[in-house]
Amino acid sequence: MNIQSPLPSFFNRFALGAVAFASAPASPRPLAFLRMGVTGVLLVQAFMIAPDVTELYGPRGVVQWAVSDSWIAAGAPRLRWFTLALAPFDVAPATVVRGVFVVYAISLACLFAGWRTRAAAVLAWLTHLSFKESGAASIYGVDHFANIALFYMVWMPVGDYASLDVQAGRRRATPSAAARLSLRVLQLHLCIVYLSSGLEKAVGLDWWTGDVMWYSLMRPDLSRFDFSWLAQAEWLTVLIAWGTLILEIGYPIYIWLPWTRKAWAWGIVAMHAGIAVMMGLVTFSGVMIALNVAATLVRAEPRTAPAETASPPGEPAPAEELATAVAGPAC
Amino acid sequence: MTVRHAFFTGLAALHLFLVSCGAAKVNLLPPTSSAWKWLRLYGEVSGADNQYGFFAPVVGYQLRTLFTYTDKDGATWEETHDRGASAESNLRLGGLTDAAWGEEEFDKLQIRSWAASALGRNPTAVSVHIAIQHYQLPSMWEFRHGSRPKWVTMHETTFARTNEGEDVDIEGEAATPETPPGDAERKTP
Repeated sequence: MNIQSPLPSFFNRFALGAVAFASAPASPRPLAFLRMGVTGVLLVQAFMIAPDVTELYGPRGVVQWAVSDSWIAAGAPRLRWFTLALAPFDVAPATVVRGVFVVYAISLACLFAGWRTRAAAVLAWLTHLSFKESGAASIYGVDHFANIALFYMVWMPVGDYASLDVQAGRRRATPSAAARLSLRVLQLHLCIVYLSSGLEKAVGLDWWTGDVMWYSLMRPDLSRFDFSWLAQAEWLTVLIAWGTLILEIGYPIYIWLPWTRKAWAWGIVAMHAGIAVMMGLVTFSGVMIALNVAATLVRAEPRTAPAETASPPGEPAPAEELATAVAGPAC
Repeated sequence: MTVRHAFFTGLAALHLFLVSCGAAKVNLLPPTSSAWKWLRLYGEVSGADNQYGFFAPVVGYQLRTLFTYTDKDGATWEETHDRGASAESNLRLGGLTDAAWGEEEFDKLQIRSWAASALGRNPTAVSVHIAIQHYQLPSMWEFRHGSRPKWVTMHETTFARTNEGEDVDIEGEAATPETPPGDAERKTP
């Protein structure tokens, strides 16, 4: 009679599962989508704010540096550093701000194309951070998420797929443990984002009565259409508000379940698309959609076709079977 | 799992722990410690200290700054911050009053600064009246019963140009502080 305690087996399986969760080789495809999606939106945003860059971020802009400097965390990059560095060359501060903005836009373009991806990511992150810190009074949600995404792009193998670096042979489009870990960080970060956002919303009575939709959609700075008819359809405001709460609070659970993952991800995408159309927060929604699609909707599991994984001849094929077995499909 | 990958997994776990603390508004260290300054810097540059309560728990009043100029003939015209080239710029410029308004001393300095640049932008103006206003939006029930949204002035000051054609010198004339009703937990998107 062979009696074995179930505990070691359970712990072994848990440990193996945890290791596979963080390290089973994954395709870099979702990270490439993250790179191209976020930088694509940021390039459009840069084009939109370019004419007003000195007004928004300049030393004599709507909030002058003398004021905004006091809001910046000690040691954080800021535009004043660039002006001080170029002061001996008699470059006017406003010119420096425009110049840094051009560098930011070029680094975004390089990142989008995946040319010298790591260096481009560092440059894009640092210049974006400098604008974010120096223009603290005029930033909003999109800048925070752009900063998060660019910071991740510095560390993650975002140039390992659909990039000029791959074409030039500097990077290989092979499944890797680094891609898996990166994807997990992104997925878990989004779980924290939506859970905390949903819980904080649930504390407010306005989210239960639907008033929050009324107050948001009727704000002159956010409303793109006349929503005064909502006063006659309170049930609709309740429906939208409750739907948002369910989507956000349920996100950390239902995004992991294979049979609800796609529906939840598309629900979140639809929510952000709604925010873009109804409230005009187009770039914010664009960045959030890019983050969500990369994290949950782009296939991360390596395919079995050898051409897809592009393993160089003579090298062992990526461990597709292991990845699919331990991590489950698509996540 | 290689040692290198295990090391980066540990760093990633630590980073996500900080993200969780930031989202939950948990201060891990007293703000006086030097370690806190490093932690704050890391949180700032990585975005780990972000909070995600957009439109939560309530949607706040929208604030705006209304500039009313008067020229030497008594003609007047108005302007607000959102005069940018695109909707994206206007979203940012329009949100400035929300972000900047709050602390009394700071507000006085900021309004003086806005007055100086406003008069600089409008050389024919002899004075500018600056009003900080909030958008008073009735509830759905009040709206159904005839109440309508309106801009309500919280604070107003007039500045006059003293040295026309030279550097813009400004003089404050009047201030009428008033806080928006209720809503201490005003949140902007």
